[in-house]
Amino acid sequence: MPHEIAALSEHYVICGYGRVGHEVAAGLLRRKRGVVAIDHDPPAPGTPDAMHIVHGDATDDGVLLAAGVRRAHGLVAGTGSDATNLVIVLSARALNSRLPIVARANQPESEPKLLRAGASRVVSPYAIGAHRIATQLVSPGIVEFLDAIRDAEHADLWIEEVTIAGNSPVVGQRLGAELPRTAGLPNVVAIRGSADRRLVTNPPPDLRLASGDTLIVVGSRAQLQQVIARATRRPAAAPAT
Amino acid sequence: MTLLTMLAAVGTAGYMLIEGWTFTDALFMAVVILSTVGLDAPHPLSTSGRAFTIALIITGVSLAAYLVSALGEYVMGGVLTGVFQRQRMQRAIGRLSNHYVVCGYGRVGRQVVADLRRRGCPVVVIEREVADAGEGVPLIAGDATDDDVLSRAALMRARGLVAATGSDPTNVDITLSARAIHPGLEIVARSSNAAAELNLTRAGATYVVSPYSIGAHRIVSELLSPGVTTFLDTVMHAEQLDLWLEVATIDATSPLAGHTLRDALPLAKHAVNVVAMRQAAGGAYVTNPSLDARLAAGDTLVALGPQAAVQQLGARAMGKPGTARPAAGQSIGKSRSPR
Repeated sequence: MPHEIAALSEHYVICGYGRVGHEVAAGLLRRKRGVVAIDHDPPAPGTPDAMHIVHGDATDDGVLLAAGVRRAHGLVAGTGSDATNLVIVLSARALNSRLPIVARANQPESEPKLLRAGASRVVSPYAIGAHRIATQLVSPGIVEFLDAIRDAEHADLWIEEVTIAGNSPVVGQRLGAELPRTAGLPNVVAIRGSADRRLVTNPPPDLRLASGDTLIVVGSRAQLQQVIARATRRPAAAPAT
Repeated sequence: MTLLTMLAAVGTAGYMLIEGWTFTDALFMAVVILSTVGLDAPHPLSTSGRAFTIALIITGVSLAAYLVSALGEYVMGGVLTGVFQRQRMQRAIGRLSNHYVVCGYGRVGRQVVADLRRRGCPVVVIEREVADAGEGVPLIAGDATDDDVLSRAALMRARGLVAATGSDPTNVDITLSARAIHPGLEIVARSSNAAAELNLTRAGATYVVSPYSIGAHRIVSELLSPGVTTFLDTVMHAEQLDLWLEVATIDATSPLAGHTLRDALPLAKHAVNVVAMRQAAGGAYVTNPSLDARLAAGDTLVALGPQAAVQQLGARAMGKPGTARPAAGQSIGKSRSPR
Protein backbone atom coordinates (compact mmCIF):
# COMPACT_ATOMS: atom_id res chain seq x y z
CA MET A 1 0.00 0.00 0.00
CA PRO A 2 2.63 2.64 0.92
CA HIS A 3 4.31 2.04 -2.45
CA GLU A 4 1.10 2.76 -4.29
CA ILE A 5 0.63 5.98 -2.33
CA ALA A 6 4.22 6.99 -2.97
CA ALA A 7 3.42 6.73 -6.69
CA LEU A 8 0.33 8.97 -6.37
CA SER A 9 0.32 12.67 -7.06
CA GLU A 10 -2.40 15.24 -7.69
CA HIS A 11 -4.58 13.12 -5.42
CA TYR A 12 -6.92 14.20 -2.63
CA VAL A 13 -6.28 13.43 1.04
CA ILE A 14 -9.38 12.89 3.17
CA CYS A 15 -8.87 13.06 6.94
CA GLY A 16 -11.68 11.29 8.77
CA TYR A 17 -13.41 8.49 6.92
CA GLY A 18 -16.82 8.73 8.61
CA ARG A 19 -20.23 9.62 7.21
CA VAL A 20 -19.02 12.76 5.46
CA GLY A 21 -15.60 11.39 4.50
CA HIS A 22 -17.15 8.32 2.87
CA GLU A 23 -19.34 10.37 0.60
CA VAL A 24 -16.57 12.82 -0.27
CA ALA A 25 -14.35 9.88 -1.25
CA ALA A 26 -17.14 8.32 -3.31
CA GLY A 27 -17.78 11.61 -5.11
CA LEU A 28 -14.10 12.05 -5.96
CA LEU A 29 -13.68 8.43 -7.09
CA ARG A 30 -16.71 8.79 -9.36
CA ARG A 31 -14.86 11.67 -11.01
CA LYS A 32 -11.77 9.47 -11.39
CA ARG A 33 -9.60 11.30 -8.87
CA GLY A 34 -7.01 9.58 -6.71
CA VAL A 35 -8.07 9.44 -3.06
CA VAL A 36 -6.14 8.66 0.12
CA ALA A 37 -8.17 8.48 3.31
CA ILE A 38 -6.68 8.76 6.80
CA ASP A 39 -8.54 7.20 9.70
CA HIS A 40 -7.92 5.68 13.14
CA ASP A 41 -10.11 2.70 12.46
CA PRO A 42 -9.30 -0.06 9.99
CA PRO A 43 -11.28 0.21 6.74
CA ALA A 44 -14.77 -1.27 6.82
CA PRO A 45 -15.54 -4.17 4.48
CA GLY A 46 -16.79 -2.87 1.17
CA THR A 47 -14.21 -0.09 0.88
CA PRO A 48 -13.65 0.47 -2.86
CA ASP A 49 -10.41 -1.03 -4.17
CA ALA A 50 -9.39 2.27 -5.72
CA MET A 51 -9.25 3.82 -2.23
CA HIS A 52 -5.95 4.04 -0.43
CA ILE A 53 -6.18 4.06 3.33
CA VAL A 54 -3.53 5.30 5.72
CA HIS A 55 -4.10 4.02 9.19
CA GLY A 56 -3.33 6.60 11.86
CA ASP A 57 -3.93 10.00 13.39
CA ALA A 58 -4.32 12.76 10.82
CA THR A 59 -3.06 15.38 13.27
CA ASP A 60 0.33 13.65 13.12
CA ASP A 61 2.71 15.15 10.53
CA GLY A 62 4.22 11.74 9.78
CA VAL A 63 0.81 10.32 8.89
CA LEU A 64 0.01 13.33 6.66
CA LEU A 65 3.37 12.93 4.88
CA ALA A 66 2.69 9.21 4.41
CA ALA A 67 -0.57 10.17 2.69
CA GLY A 68 1.46 12.29 0.27
CA VAL A 69 0.23 15.68 1.48
CA ARG A 70 3.16 17.47 -0.27
CA ARG A 71 2.14 16.11 -3.71
CA ALA A 72 -1.64 16.29 -3.15
CA HIS A 73 -4.12 18.39 -5.10
CA GLY A 74 -6.33 19.01 -2.09
CA LEU A 75 -7.05 17.98 1.48
CA VAL A 76 -10.29 17.61 3.42
CA ALA A 77 -10.33 18.01 7.22
CA GLY A 78 -13.62 16.15 7.58
CA THR A 79 -13.76 14.65 11.08
CA GLY A 80 -16.73 15.20 13.38
CA SER A 81 -14.59 17.19 15.82
CA ASP A 82 -13.79 20.83 15.10
CA ALA A 83 -10.78 20.79 17.42
CA THR A 84 -9.29 17.87 15.47
CA ASN A 85 -10.05 19.56 12.15
CA LEU A 86 -8.31 22.69 13.40
CA VAL A 87 -5.12 20.77 14.20
CA ILE A 88 -5.27 18.93 10.84
CA VAL A 89 -5.59 22.24 8.97
CA LEU A 90 -2.67 23.77 10.87
CA SER A 91 -0.41 20.75 10.28
CA ALA A 92 -1.32 20.35 6.62
CA ARG A 93 -0.84 24.08 5.96
CA ALA A 94 2.60 23.94 7.56
CA LEU A 95 3.58 21.00 5.36
CA ASN A 96 2.23 22.42 2.09
CA SER A 97 1.63 26.15 1.85
CA ARG A 98 -0.18 25.98 -1.53
CA LEU A 99 -2.53 23.08 -0.83
CA PRO A 100 -6.26 23.75 -1.23
CA ILE A 101 -7.74 22.73 2.14
CA VAL A 102 -11.48 22.31 2.70
CA ALA A 103 -12.46 22.01 6.36
CA ARG A 104 -15.69 20.76 7.86
CA ALA A 105 -17.16 22.94 10.62
CA ASN A 106 -19.56 21.22 12.98
CA GLN A 107 -20.24 24.38 14.98
CA PRO A 108 -20.79 27.77 13.34
CA GLU A 109 -18.27 29.38 15.73
CA SER A 110 -15.46 27.24 14.32
CA GLU A 111 -15.65 28.68 10.84
CA PRO A 112 -13.48 31.80 11.39
CA LYS A 113 -10.97 29.76 13.41
CA LEU A 114 -10.57 27.18 10.66
CA LEU A 115 -10.03 29.95 8.11
CA ARG A 116 -7.45 31.60 10.35
CA ALA A 117 -5.67 28.27 10.76
CA GLY A 118 -5.22 28.14 7.00
CA ALA A 119 -8.29 26.46 5.48
CA SER A 120 -9.08 27.65 1.94
CA ARG A 121 -12.79 26.98 2.33
CA VAL A 122 -15.05 25.91 5.19
CA VAL A 123 -18.18 23.79 4.79
CA SER A 124 -20.81 23.45 7.56
CA PRO A 125 -22.96 20.39 6.79
CA TYR A 126 -25.60 21.33 9.36
CA ALA A 127 -25.98 24.88 8.07
CA ILE A 128 -26.08 23.76 4.43
CA GLY A 129 -28.63 21.06 5.27
CA ALA A 130 -30.75 23.67 7.02
CA HIS A 131 -30.52 26.08 4.05
CA ARG A 132 -31.66 23.26 1.81
CA ILE A 133 -34.64 22.45 4.06
CA ALA A 134 -35.78 26.09 4.12
CA THR A 135 -35.39 26.46 0.35
CA GLN A 136 -37.31 23.24 -0.22
CA LEU A 137 -40.21 24.63 1.82
CA VAL A 138 -40.29 28.06 0.24
CA SER A 139 -38.99 27.47 -3.31
CA PRO A 140 -39.15 23.76 -4.17
CA GLY A 141 -38.52 24.46 -7.85
CA ILE A 142 -35.06 25.80 -7.08
CA VAL A 143 -34.15 22.68 -5.12
CA GLU A 144 -35.30 20.48 -7.97
CA PHE A 145 -33.22 22.47 -10.45
CA LEU A 146 -30.16 22.44 -8.20
CA ASP A 147 -30.55 18.71 -7.64
CA ALA A 148 -30.73 18.29 -11.39
CA ILE A 149 -27.53 20.24 -12.01
CA ARG A 150 -25.73 18.74 -9.02
CA ASP A 151 -26.15 15.09 -9.75
CA ALA A 152 -27.33 15.05 -13.29
CA GLU A 153 -28.04 11.36 -13.55
CA HIS A 154 -31.57 11.79 -14.85
CA ALA A 155 -31.53 15.16 -16.56
CA ASP A 156 -28.51 15.89 -18.77
CA LEU A 157 -28.01 19.33 -17.30
CA TRP A 158 -24.68 20.24 -15.72
CA ILE A 159 -23.00 23.29 -14.32
CA GLU A 160 -19.26 23.63 -14.79
CA GLU A 161 -16.61 26.27 -14.46
CA VAL A 162 -13.75 26.70 -16.86
CA THR A 163 -10.85 29.11 -16.74
CA ILE A 164 -9.60 30.36 -20.10
CA ALA A 165 -6.01 29.35 -20.79
CA GLY A 166 -3.37 31.86 -21.88
CA ASN A 167 -3.34 31.05 -25.57
CA SER A 168 -6.74 29.49 -26.12
CA PRO A 169 -8.41 30.48 -29.42
CA VAL A 170 -11.20 31.93 -27.29
CA VAL A 171 -9.04 34.80 -25.98
CA GLY A 172 -10.07 38.14 -27.49
CA GLN A 173 -13.35 36.81 -28.89
CA ARG A 174 -16.71 38.35 -28.08
CA LEU A 175 -18.85 36.21 -25.76
CA GLY A 176 -21.81 36.48 -28.18
CA ALA A 177 -19.69 35.10 -31.04
CA GLU A 178 -18.14 32.35 -28.99
CA LEU A 179 -21.19 31.17 -27.05
CA PRO A 180 -24.30 32.74 -28.63
CA ARG A 181 -27.62 32.59 -26.80
CA THR A 182 -29.01 30.11 -29.29
CA ALA A 183 -31.60 27.55 -28.23
CA GLY A 184 -29.96 24.35 -27.08
CA LEU A 185 -26.45 25.81 -26.72
CA PRO A 186 -24.75 26.13 -23.33
CA ASN A 187 -25.69 29.15 -21.24
CA VAL A 188 -22.98 31.28 -19.62
CA VAL A 189 -24.61 32.31 -16.36
CA ALA A 190 -21.66 34.24 -14.96
CA ILE A 191 -18.08 35.29 -15.62
CA ARG A 192 -15.43 36.08 -13.06
CA GLY A 193 -13.09 38.49 -14.84
CA SER A 194 -9.35 37.91 -14.64
CA ALA A 195 -8.77 41.62 -13.99
CA ASP A 196 -10.92 42.39 -10.95
CA ARG A 197 -12.13 38.88 -9.94
CA ARG A 198 -15.65 40.29 -9.74
CA LEU A 199 -18.54 37.95 -10.54
CA VAL A 200 -20.56 39.31 -13.49
CA THR A 201 -23.89 37.55 -13.91
CA ASN A 202 -25.74 37.65 -17.23
CA PRO A 203 -22.59 38.78 -19.04
CA PRO A 204 -23.41 40.92 -22.11
CA PRO A 205 -22.76 39.37 -25.58
CA ASP A 206 -20.21 42.04 -26.55
CA LEU A 207 -17.96 41.23 -23.58
CA ARG A 208 -14.44 40.27 -24.73
CA LEU A 209 -13.04 37.09 -23.25
CA ALA A 210 -9.60 37.31 -21.71
CA SER A 211 -7.09 34.79 -20.54
CA GLY A 212 -7.71 33.91 -16.89
CA ASP A 213 -11.46 34.66 -17.03
CA THR A 214 -13.55 31.98 -15.33
CA LEU A 215 -16.83 31.12 -17.06
CA ILE A 216 -19.71 29.41 -15.24
CA VAL A 217 -21.65 27.50 -17.83
CA VAL A 218 -24.86 25.44 -17.77
CA GLY A 219 -25.42 22.84 -20.48
CA SER A 220 -25.35 19.18 -21.39
CA ARG A 221 -22.31 17.13 -20.47
CA ALA A 222 -21.06 16.82 -24.05
CA GLN A 223 -21.44 20.56 -24.66
CA LEU A 224 -19.56 21.44 -21.49
CA GLN A 225 -16.73 19.12 -22.41
CA GLN A 226 -16.45 20.93 -25.74
CA VAL A 227 -16.44 24.34 -24.07
CA ILE A 228 -13.77 23.21 -21.61
CA ALA A 229 -11.66 21.67 -24.38
CA ARG A 230 -11.78 24.86 -26.44
CA ALA A 231 -11.19 27.25 -23.56
CA THR A 232 -8.20 25.32 -22.25
CA ARG A 233 -6.69 24.30 -25.60
CA ARG A 234 -3.48 25.75 -26.91
CA PRO A 235 -3.58 26.67 -30.63
CA ALA A 236 -0.35 24.75 -31.26
CA ALA A 237 -1.77 21.53 -29.86
CA ALA A 238 -2.54 18.66 -32.18
CA PRO A 239 -6.12 18.54 -33.48
CA ALA A 240 -8.48 16.89 -31.05
CA THR A 241 -8.99 13.22 -31.74
CA MET B 1 -32.19 30.89 57.91
CA THR B 2 -28.81 32.55 58.41
CA LEU B 3 -30.60 35.73 59.45
CA LEU B 4 -32.67 33.87 62.03
CA THR B 5 -29.59 32.12 63.48
CA MET B 6 -27.79 35.47 63.74
CA LEU B 7 -30.80 36.98 65.50
CA ALA B 8 -30.87 34.04 67.98
CA ALA B 9 -27.15 34.61 68.69
CA VAL B 10 -27.73 38.34 69.27
CA GLY B 11 -30.65 37.47 71.60
CA THR B 12 -28.55 34.98 73.59
CA ALA B 13 -25.67 37.43 73.96
CA GLY B 14 -28.12 40.20 74.95
CA TYR B 15 -29.68 38.19 77.82
CA MET B 16 -26.24 37.07 79.04
CA LEU B 17 -25.03 40.70 79.17
CA ILE B 18 -28.16 42.49 80.40
CA GLU B 19 -29.49 39.91 82.87
CA GLY B 20 -26.23 38.08 83.64
CA TRP B 21 -27.88 34.70 82.81
CA THR B 22 -26.04 31.49 81.95
CA PHE B 23 -25.60 30.61 78.25
CA THR B 24 -28.29 27.85 78.35
CA ASP B 25 -30.86 30.13 80.02
CA ALA B 26 -30.14 32.96 77.58
CA LEU B 27 -30.34 30.68 74.53
CA PHE B 28 -33.59 29.12 75.82
CA MET B 29 -35.13 32.58 76.24
CA ALA B 30 -34.01 33.81 72.81
CA VAL B 31 -35.41 30.73 71.04
CA VAL B 32 -38.72 30.93 72.99
CA ILE B 33 -39.12 34.60 72.00
CA LEU B 34 -38.14 34.13 68.35
CA SER B 35 -40.33 31.05 67.87
CA THR B 36 -43.25 33.00 69.45
CA VAL B 37 -44.07 29.93 71.58
CA GLY B 38 -44.58 32.02 74.75
CA LEU B 39 -43.25 29.82 77.59
CA ASP B 40 -42.33 31.41 80.94
CA ALA B 41 -38.99 33.15 81.25
CA PRO B 42 -36.40 31.11 83.26
CA HIS B 43 -35.88 34.11 85.62
CA PRO B 44 -37.83 37.35 86.19
CA LEU B 45 -36.76 40.11 83.73
CA SER B 46 -35.35 43.56 84.62
CA THR B 47 -36.68 46.73 82.87
CA SER B 48 -33.84 46.88 80.39
CA GLY B 49 -34.28 43.10 79.86
CA ARG B 50 -37.95 43.73 78.98
CA ALA B 51 -37.04 46.48 76.51
CA PHE B 52 -34.54 44.14 74.85
CA THR B 53 -37.22 41.39 74.66
CA ILE B 54 -39.68 43.76 72.95
CA ALA B 55 -37.04 44.73 70.36
CA LEU B 56 -36.18 41.08 69.79
CA ILE B 57 -39.85 40.09 69.28
CA ILE B 58 -40.48 42.92 66.79
CA THR B 59 -37.32 42.17 64.75
CA GLY B 60 -37.95 38.41 64.77
CA VAL B 61 -41.60 38.61 63.72
CA SER B 62 -40.95 41.13 60.95
CA LEU B 63 -38.05 39.04 59.66
CA ALA B 64 -40.24 35.91 59.61
CA ALA B 65 -43.04 37.77 57.84
CA TYR B 66 -40.58 39.07 55.22
CA LEU B 67 -39.13 35.61 54.60
CA VAL B 68 -42.56 34.02 54.16
CA SER B 69 -43.68 36.69 51.67
CA ALA B 70 -40.41 36.51 49.69
CA LEU B 71 -40.67 32.73 49.44
CA GLY B 72 -44.29 32.94 48.32
CA GLU B 73 -43.48 35.51 45.68
CA TYR B 74 -40.63 33.36 44.36
CA VAL B 75 -42.75 30.24 44.02
CA MET B 76 -45.99 31.82 42.82
CA GLY B 77 -44.29 34.42 40.61
CA GLY B 78 -42.41 31.78 38.65
CA VAL B 79 -45.50 29.68 38.17
CA LEU B 80 -47.63 32.64 37.13
CA THR B 81 -45.07 34.08 34.66
CA GLY B 82 -44.85 30.63 33.06
CA VAL B 83 -48.62 30.38 32.82
CA PHE B 84 -48.94 33.86 31.32
CA GLN B 85 -46.13 33.22 28.85
CA ARG B 86 -47.66 29.96 27.70
CA GLN B 87 -51.07 31.58 27.32
CA ARG B 88 -49.62 34.45 25.31
CA MET B 89 -47.71 31.99 23.12
CA GLN B 90 -50.82 29.87 22.57
CA ARG B 91 -52.83 32.96 21.62
CA ALA B 92 -50.12 33.97 19.10
CA ILE B 93 -50.13 30.46 17.62
CA GLY B 94 -53.93 30.51 17.53
CA ARG B 95 -53.80 33.40 15.10
CA LEU B 96 -51.28 31.69 12.78
CA SER B 97 -52.01 29.98 9.51
CA ASN B 98 -49.86 28.96 6.54
CA HIS B 99 -46.98 28.74 8.95
CA TYR B 100 -44.15 26.22 9.26
CA VAL B 101 -43.78 23.92 12.26
CA VAL B 102 -40.13 23.17 13.01
CA CYS B 103 -39.61 20.15 15.31
CA GLY B 104 -36.18 20.10 16.94
CA TYR B 105 -34.21 23.25 17.74
CA GLY B 106 -30.59 22.18 17.47
CA ARG B 107 -27.96 23.21 14.93
CA VAL B 108 -30.18 22.41 11.94
CA GLY B 109 -33.51 23.53 13.41
CA ARG B 110 -32.17 26.92 14.48
CA GLN B 111 -30.76 27.63 11.03
CA VAL B 112 -34.01 26.54 9.34
CA VAL B 113 -35.96 28.92 11.59
CA ALA B 114 -33.55 31.78 10.87
CA ASP B 115 -33.78 31.18 7.10
CA LEU B 116 -37.57 30.96 7.09
CA ARG B 117 -37.97 34.08 9.20
CA ARG B 118 -35.59 35.99 6.94
CA ARG B 119 -37.93 35.16 4.07
CA GLY B 120 -40.88 36.42 6.09
CA CYS B 121 -42.44 33.02 6.84
CA PRO B 122 -44.18 32.54 10.22
CA VAL B 123 -42.70 29.69 12.29
CA VAL B 124 -43.62 27.65 15.39
CA VAL B 125 -40.89 25.65 17.13
CA ILE B 126 -41.49 22.42 19.06
CA GLU B 127 -38.60 21.40 21.32
CA ARG B 128 -38.50 19.55 24.61
CA GLU B 129 -35.17 20.75 25.91
CA VAL B 130 -35.29 24.48 25.25
CA ALA B 131 -37.20 26.96 27.41
CA ASP B 132 -36.88 29.98 25.13
CA ALA B 133 -36.43 30.03 21.37
CA GLY B 134 -35.22 33.64 21.30
CA GLU B 135 -36.64 36.88 19.99
CA GLY B 136 -40.30 36.42 19.25
CA VAL B 137 -40.16 32.81 18.07
CA PRO B 138 -43.26 30.96 19.35
CA LEU B 139 -42.08 27.85 21.18
CA ILE B 140 -44.01 24.82 22.39
CA ALA B 141 -41.96 23.00 25.00
CA GLY B 142 -42.99 19.42 24.40
CA ASP B 143 -42.49 16.19 22.53
CA ALA B 144 -43.18 16.57 18.79
CA THR B 145 -44.07 12.88 18.44
CA ASP B 146 -47.12 13.57 20.62
CA ASP B 147 -50.26 14.28 18.55
CA ASP B 148 -51.50 16.66 21.21
CA VAL B 149 -48.34 18.77 21.01
CA LEU B 150 -48.52 18.82 17.20
CA SER B 151 -52.13 20.01 17.37
CA ARG B 152 -51.14 22.81 19.74
CA ALA B 153 -48.81 24.03 16.97
CA ALA B 154 -51.91 24.47 14.79
CA LEU B 155 -50.71 21.77 12.41
CA MET B 156 -54.07 21.64 10.63
CA ARG B 157 -53.56 25.19 9.35
CA ALA B 158 -49.80 24.85 8.73
CA ARG B 159 -48.20 24.97 5.30
CA GLY B 160 -45.29 22.70 6.15
CA LEU B 161 -43.48 20.79 8.86
CA VAL B 162 -39.77 20.14 9.35
CA ALA B 163 -38.66 17.06 11.32
CA ALA B 164 -35.18 18.31 12.20
CA THR B 165 -34.20 16.47 15.39
CA GLY B 166 -30.83 14.74 15.49
CA SER B 167 -32.44 11.29 15.81
CA ASP B 168 -33.70 9.45 12.73
CA PRO B 169 -36.25 7.29 14.62
CA THR B 170 -37.71 10.41 16.24
CA ASN B 171 -37.98 12.09 12.84
CA VAL B 172 -39.77 9.02 11.44
CA ASP B 173 -42.17 9.12 14.38
CA ILE B 174 -42.83 12.86 13.92
CA THR B 175 -43.38 12.38 10.18
CA LEU B 176 -45.86 9.55 10.74
CA SER B 177 -47.84 11.49 13.34
CA ALA B 178 -47.92 14.69 11.28
CA ARG B 179 -48.90 12.84 8.12
CA ALA B 180 -51.81 11.19 9.96
CA ILE B 181 -53.07 14.55 11.25
CA HIS B 182 -52.67 16.47 7.97
CA PRO B 183 -52.55 14.38 4.76
CA GLY B 184 -51.80 17.35 2.49
CA LEU B 185 -48.94 18.80 4.54
CA GLU B 186 -45.50 19.47 3.05
CA ILE B 187 -43.10 17.51 5.30
CA VAL B 188 -39.34 17.90 4.99
CA ALA B 189 -37.33 15.51 7.17
CA ARG B 190 -33.68 15.44 8.19
CA SER B 191 -31.88 12.11 7.96
CA SER B 192 -28.39 10.92 8.77
CA ASN B 193 -28.10 8.01 6.34
CA ALA B 194 -29.58 6.33 3.29
CA ALA B 195 -31.55 3.71 5.24
CA ALA B 196 -33.27 6.39 7.28
CA GLU B 197 -34.02 8.31 4.10
CA LEU B 198 -36.06 5.38 2.81
CA ASN B 199 -37.95 5.03 6.09
CA LEU B 200 -38.73 8.73 6.21
CA THR B 201 -40.11 8.60 2.68
CA ARG B 202 -42.22 5.56 3.61
CA ALA B 203 -43.51 7.40 6.68
CA GLY B 204 -44.80 10.18 4.43
CA ALA B 205 -42.05 12.79 4.11
CA THR B 206 -42.28 14.88 0.94
CA TYR B 207 -38.55 15.53 0.81
CA VAL B 208 -35.62 14.19 2.80
CA VAL B 209 -32.44 16.17 3.43
CA SER B 210 -29.28 14.56 4.72
CA PRO B 211 -26.85 17.20 6.02
CA TYR B 212 -23.94 14.74 5.85
CA SER B 213 -24.49 13.88 2.25
CA ILE B 214 -25.18 17.47 1.18
CA GLY B 215 -22.12 18.59 3.13
CA ALA B 216 -20.01 15.92 1.40
CA HIS B 217 -21.35 17.00 -1.98
CA ARG B 218 -20.39 20.54 -1.18
CA ILE B 219 -16.89 19.54 -0.11
CA VAL B 220 -16.39 17.72 -3.42
CA SER B 221 -17.55 20.79 -5.38
CA GLU B 222 -15.32 23.04 -3.29
CA LEU B 223 -12.37 20.86 -4.28
CA LEU B 224 -13.20 20.38 -7.95
CA SER B 225 -15.11 23.53 -8.97
CA PRO B 226 -15.07 26.24 -6.29
CA GLY B 227 -16.32 28.82 -8.79
CA VAL B 228 -19.61 26.99 -9.25
CA THR B 229 -20.24 26.76 -5.51
CA THR B 230 -19.50 30.45 -5.08
CA PHE B 231 -21.89 31.22 -7.91
CA LEU B 232 -24.68 29.06 -6.47
CA ASP B 233 -24.11 30.53 -3.01
CA THR B 234 -24.39 33.97 -4.56
CA VAL B 235 -27.67 33.25 -6.32
CA MET B 236 -29.10 31.41 -3.31
CA HIS B 237 -28.20 33.91 -0.61
CA ALA B 238 -27.52 37.08 -2.57
CA GLU B 239 -28.13 39.62 0.13
CA GLN B 240 -25.69 42.19 -1.18
CA LEU B 241 -26.26 41.56 -4.90
CA ASP B 242 -29.56 42.16 -6.67
CA LEU B 243 -29.62 38.72 -8.19
CA TRP B 244 -32.28 36.07 -7.91
CA LEU B 245 -32.69 32.56 -9.22
CA GLU B 246 -36.29 31.70 -9.97
CA VAL B 247 -37.62 28.34 -11.05
CA ALA B 248 -41.26 28.75 -12.02
CA THR B 249 -43.77 26.32 -13.44
CA ILE B 250 -46.51 27.76 -15.64
CA ASP B 251 -49.87 27.15 -14.00
CA ALA B 252 -53.00 26.49 -16.07
CA THR B 253 -54.43 29.81 -14.85
CA SER B 254 -51.29 31.77 -15.74
CA PRO B 255 -51.69 34.70 -18.15
CA LEU B 256 -48.41 33.56 -19.75
CA ALA B 257 -49.79 30.26 -21.06
CA GLY B 258 -50.04 30.38 -24.84
CA HIS B 259 -47.64 33.34 -25.16
CA THR B 260 -44.09 33.33 -26.40
CA LEU B 261 -41.18 33.64 -24.03
CA ARG B 262 -40.45 37.06 -25.57
CA ASP B 263 -43.89 38.31 -24.44
CA ALA B 264 -43.52 36.69 -21.05
CA LEU B 265 -40.31 38.42 -20.09
CA PRO B 266 -40.64 41.68 -18.19
CA LEU B 267 -39.60 44.94 -19.87
CA ALA B 268 -36.12 44.50 -18.50
CA LYS B 269 -35.75 41.37 -20.59
CA HIS B 270 -32.07 41.87 -21.31
CA ALA B 271 -31.37 41.73 -17.62
CA VAL B 272 -33.09 38.38 -17.24
CA ASN B 273 -31.26 35.26 -18.32
CA VAL B 274 -33.62 32.37 -19.04
CA VAL B 275 -31.00 29.70 -18.40
CA ALA B 276 -33.13 26.70 -19.23
CA MET B 277 -36.68 25.60 -19.90
CA ARG B 278 -38.38 22.27 -19.52
CA GLN B 279 -41.54 21.36 -21.37
CA ALA B 280 -43.90 19.51 -19.03
CA ALA B 281 -42.75 17.85 -15.81
CA GLY B 282 -40.28 15.02 -16.18
CA GLY B 283 -38.92 16.17 -19.55
CA ALA B 284 -35.41 17.36 -20.24
CA TYR B 285 -34.18 20.89 -19.63
CA VAL B 286 -33.20 22.78 -22.79
CA THR B 287 -30.63 25.51 -22.26
CA ASN B 288 -31.09 28.96 -23.80
CA PRO B 289 -34.70 28.48 -24.89
CA SER B 290 -35.65 30.47 -27.97
CA LEU B 291 -37.56 33.68 -27.29
CA ASP B 292 -40.14 32.46 -29.82
CA ALA B 293 -40.86 29.32 -27.80
CA ARG B 294 -44.52 29.12 -26.80
CA LEU B 295 -45.27 28.59 -23.15
CA ALA B 296 -47.79 25.98 -22.05
CA ALA B 297 -49.12 24.95 -18.64
CA GLY B 298 -46.65 22.62 -16.96
CA ASP B 299 -43.55 24.16 -18.56
CA THR B 300 -40.79 25.13 -16.14
CA LEU B 301 -38.56 28.18 -16.58
CA VAL B 302 -35.20 28.68 -14.87
CA ALA B 303 -34.48 32.39 -14.83
CA LEU B 304 -31.68 34.42 -13.33
CA GLY B 305 -31.72 38.19 -12.99
CA PRO B 306 -32.67 41.21 -10.87
CA GLN B 307 -34.93 40.15 -8.02
CA ALA B 308 -37.94 42.32 -8.91
CA ALA B 309 -37.99 41.33 -12.59
CA VAL B 310 -37.50 37.64 -11.93
CA GLN B 311 -40.02 37.51 -9.11
CA GLN B 312 -42.58 39.23 -11.31
CA LEU B 313 -42.03 36.54 -13.91
CA GLY B 314 -42.53 33.89 -11.22
CA ALA B 315 -45.73 35.51 -9.94
CA ARG B 316 -47.21 35.68 -13.44
CA ALA B 317 -46.27 32.06 -14.09
CA MET B 318 -48.28 31.05 -11.06
CA GLY B 319 -51.43 32.79 -12.19
CA LYS B 320 -53.52 34.23 -9.37
CA PRO B 321 -51.27 36.86 -7.85
CA GLY B 322 -53.18 36.90 -4.56
CA THR B 323 -52.04 33.42 -3.63
CA ALA B 324 -48.31 34.04 -3.87
CA ARG B 325 -46.16 32.38 -1.26
CA PRO B 326 -44.19 34.55 1.13
CA ALA B 327 -41.12 34.36 -1.09
CA ALA B 328 -40.84 33.74 -4.78
CA GLY B 329 -39.49 30.74 -6.55
CA GLN B 330 -42.30 28.27 -6.41
CA SER B 331 -44.17 25.94 -8.57
CA ILE B 332 -47.64 24.61 -8.10
CA GLY B 333 -49.51 21.65 -9.40
CA LYS B 334 -46.25 19.90 -10.09
CA SER B 335 -45.43 16.37 -9.02
CA ARG B 336 -42.33 16.26 -6.93
CA SER B 337 -40.67 13.14 -5.74
CA PRO B 338 -38.14 12.99 -2.96
CA ARG B 339 -34.71 12.25 -4.14
